[in-house]
Amino acid sequence: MKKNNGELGFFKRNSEKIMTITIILILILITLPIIIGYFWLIIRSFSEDMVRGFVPTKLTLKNWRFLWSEMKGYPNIWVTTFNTSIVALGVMAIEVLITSLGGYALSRYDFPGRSSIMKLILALHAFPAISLMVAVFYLLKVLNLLDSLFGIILLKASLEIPWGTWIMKGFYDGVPWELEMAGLIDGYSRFETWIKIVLPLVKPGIAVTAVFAFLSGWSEFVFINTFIFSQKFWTLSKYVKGIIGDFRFADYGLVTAVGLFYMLPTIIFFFFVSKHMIKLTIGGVKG
Amino acid sequence: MGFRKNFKPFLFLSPMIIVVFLFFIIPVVLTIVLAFTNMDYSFKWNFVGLQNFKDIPSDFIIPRVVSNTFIYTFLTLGFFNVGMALVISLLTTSLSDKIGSFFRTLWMLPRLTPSVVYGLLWLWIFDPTEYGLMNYLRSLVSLQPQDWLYSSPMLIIILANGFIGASMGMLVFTAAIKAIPEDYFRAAKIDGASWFMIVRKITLPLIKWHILFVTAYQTLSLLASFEYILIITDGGPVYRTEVWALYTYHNAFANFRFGYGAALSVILVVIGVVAALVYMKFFGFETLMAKPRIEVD
Amino acid sequence: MPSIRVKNLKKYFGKVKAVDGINFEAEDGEFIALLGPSGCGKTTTLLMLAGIYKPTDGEIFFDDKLVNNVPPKYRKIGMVFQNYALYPHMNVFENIAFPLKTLKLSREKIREKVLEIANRMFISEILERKPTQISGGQQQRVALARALVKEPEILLFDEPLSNLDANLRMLMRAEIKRLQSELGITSVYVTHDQAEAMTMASRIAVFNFGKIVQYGTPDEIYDKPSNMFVASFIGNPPMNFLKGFSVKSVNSELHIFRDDVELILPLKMKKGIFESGVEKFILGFRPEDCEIEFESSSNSIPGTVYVLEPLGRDIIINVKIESTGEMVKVFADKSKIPERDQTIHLVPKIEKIHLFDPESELTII
Repeated sequence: MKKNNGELGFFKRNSEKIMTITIILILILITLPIIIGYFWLIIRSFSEDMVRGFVPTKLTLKNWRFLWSEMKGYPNIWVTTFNTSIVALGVMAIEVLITSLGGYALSRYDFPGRSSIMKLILALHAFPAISLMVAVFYLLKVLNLLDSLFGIILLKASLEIPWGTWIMKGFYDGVPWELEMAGLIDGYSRFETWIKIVLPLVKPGIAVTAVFAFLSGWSEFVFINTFIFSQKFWTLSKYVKGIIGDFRFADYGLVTAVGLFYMLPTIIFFFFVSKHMIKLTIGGVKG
Repeated sequence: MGFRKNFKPFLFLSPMIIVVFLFFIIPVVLTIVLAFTNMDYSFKWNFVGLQNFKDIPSDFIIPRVVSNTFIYTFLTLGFFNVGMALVISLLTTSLSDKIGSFFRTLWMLPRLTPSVVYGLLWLWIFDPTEYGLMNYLRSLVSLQPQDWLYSSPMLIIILANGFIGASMGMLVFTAAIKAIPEDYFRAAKIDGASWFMIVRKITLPLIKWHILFVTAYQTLSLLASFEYILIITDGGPVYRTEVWALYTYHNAFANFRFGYGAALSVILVVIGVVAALVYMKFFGFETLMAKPRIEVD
Repeated sequence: MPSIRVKNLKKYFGKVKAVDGINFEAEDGEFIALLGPSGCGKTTTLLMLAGIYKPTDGEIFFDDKLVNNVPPKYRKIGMVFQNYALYPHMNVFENIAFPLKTLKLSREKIREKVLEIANRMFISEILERKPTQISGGQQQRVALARALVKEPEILLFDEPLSNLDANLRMLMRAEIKRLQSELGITSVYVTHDQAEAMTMASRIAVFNFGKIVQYGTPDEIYDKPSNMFVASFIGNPPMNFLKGFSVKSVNSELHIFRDDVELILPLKMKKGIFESGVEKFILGFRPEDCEIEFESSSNSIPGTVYVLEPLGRDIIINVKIESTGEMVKVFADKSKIPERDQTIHLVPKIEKIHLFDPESELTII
């Protein structure tokens, strides 16, 4: 009230800045559980013990002992990691192959049923496939794919293929028609043009599809938990779930180290993927 | 001629069509057929008519499951998948792109984390001993540790699912907000509108279709989801976080009552199919159907 | 090189008749232009010549061979696109070599051919660069080189100059014309720019709404437009039109008149006018076919100067015909420039006058 002489008050002069700082503070506050959670996961895995919430008493590598010595009652970590890689790479390979083919047809060919197929894909995307698990169990049994990593790969990839095809179609749509026409006029068949011109231009789409497929295969838990019975086929999700259950109260150090180990690909790809995340927006992920 | 002409595109599409048939179409039919049997681990086809559906109303756990499902779905949806998603996208788009996308990236992290590891974070936050985050905070004000998983399990699973669920809405809303021409905001600022006015009068009305889409879409996925509940509480303690999808799962894979499990699934499947078809109707995708421009086989 | 013959060609997309029964031919080594506004069907026609689109009906012949169902790769064609369509993942050398890789040639032979054409197109210096790293003009040259390297028998151009700035466009226009006449490749050139069509082609097909409204040499099209659309599309500024004229015979003279004007026409026009059976006419004359007088005379049209548009070499005078509000543009002699709002008298060159039927818009004289 004092400064009523035309000069703007402190808050008015700095209103933009104050607004920005307030917004950032609110964002930090609501994001805090995520920040603290991952921060704890990393620090704890290298700590002897922790006091006052998350202050390590002493740094150690002892928590990582599962990497070089076998845990009693658990399969070898490297065999388990190998299985996990097989699932992740398998899902990735199948998904990339099938979605690159299907996406091209939907984007570039006109044929009867084209729009019906596209509508079906969108409907399938909204449909919660997880509700089909009972039937899928019977189906896998009939196909002799229970307790088989191949079964898991096939199932996991299949459920993601319709939407992946849609995403790839989007990337194909971004390739100018003239480039494909030029390829045809330069003397190539439609198929050769696809291989030599179009596919190299949708590489970013293939890369994104590949990374997401890899991570989803790598992270799969429910199907492994339900359709895999033998320890020799365990993947890391089952291993880590087991460790958490057995050691949660006894040894957070071990539990966090195992968890962090399992998370490594996520961390590596995270920085790559986050940049492309927006491209896959509109329902690209389920929740 | 017709077949010959359309041979190529179907050749490209056939792998996708096969897997869709195998893992979507057949399971839908199979779920419905199984619902009329009392199949158990002996896998005998024993048709029992409507018996499973008659059993559902008299199942004394069902009322509990239904109320859990509603509480879980709508609170997670309201507070996080739509609410928090809106808050984050509105706040982050008010900041410079660099800072904004930093926060959005952080919110993507839970979704990309393997579910069992992500579950571990919440188990620690709500650990019953003083090693857990919440109980550490209580100890700062000299309160005894509390067994959160026993006292408020529903809160924990809503939080855990919410922090993942918010990211989809966040991406959709952020893209929608960024698509609004900058001139609208500039004009409003010149007219002297406050941040809240701009949000209420410009941003929200312009993204209302996106909000509706995310709401509709996420309702369905939440109804059917159970992975994080399975990992964190496994429906407990004593069915206090048992939702419909998880109850289905337990019936089929813990008690091996495949017939009854399928009958419970049918209800979700029917909701899913109907809702998916309704979405298709409302969220017209005609613009996506532009005709191809090359007619060479 | 083959000739091209197109007979009753049609292309429908659903209900849209993009091309609706057109006929034209290009002789061995001829350079023809398909000219028209956007959406008139000219590019669709070109893509049918290329084999990208299949005709709904009608025939396309290269020499005597029906090519309707021949895939593009067997047509021995080269094409230059509006946006050049250079492959972004290949460098300039690879772009030019790409068509050659379909032939069974040795690496040395391919290299030799690429270098030869690159030399000719003055792009030898940039062979290692990616298309995004070179200028629009250079991209244009690369696109030409790629189209020519396989020594095609037919060249197709889809508005190849429309993305260049005005100076470069004039330069490339001349170069393409020279190149085409040196190589003698039968060429079809699609454009919406009448100046390009006029300067480059030996014959022009003017398109409108999926049909060819006139096919002829540039002079024919300029001097004897077949209807008002062609008359207004060709020439810059376009032909002037004045409405509501009638014709009468006065003492063995032929008069065309309306309230404010009465002009005497050459008698030789009489036959055509009366045979047409039309009673009301639209009068047309080109901006350069009109003199300006400051005094009224017979055969003159009164008007006031609305605005002057100097072009350096010429000046365009916009004249408003007061009684009707019609606007007319004429080129003026620089020694005889009127002022704004001055009353002047337009004297069209009577020999070069056109008359149109307002109903059908067809040319009568």
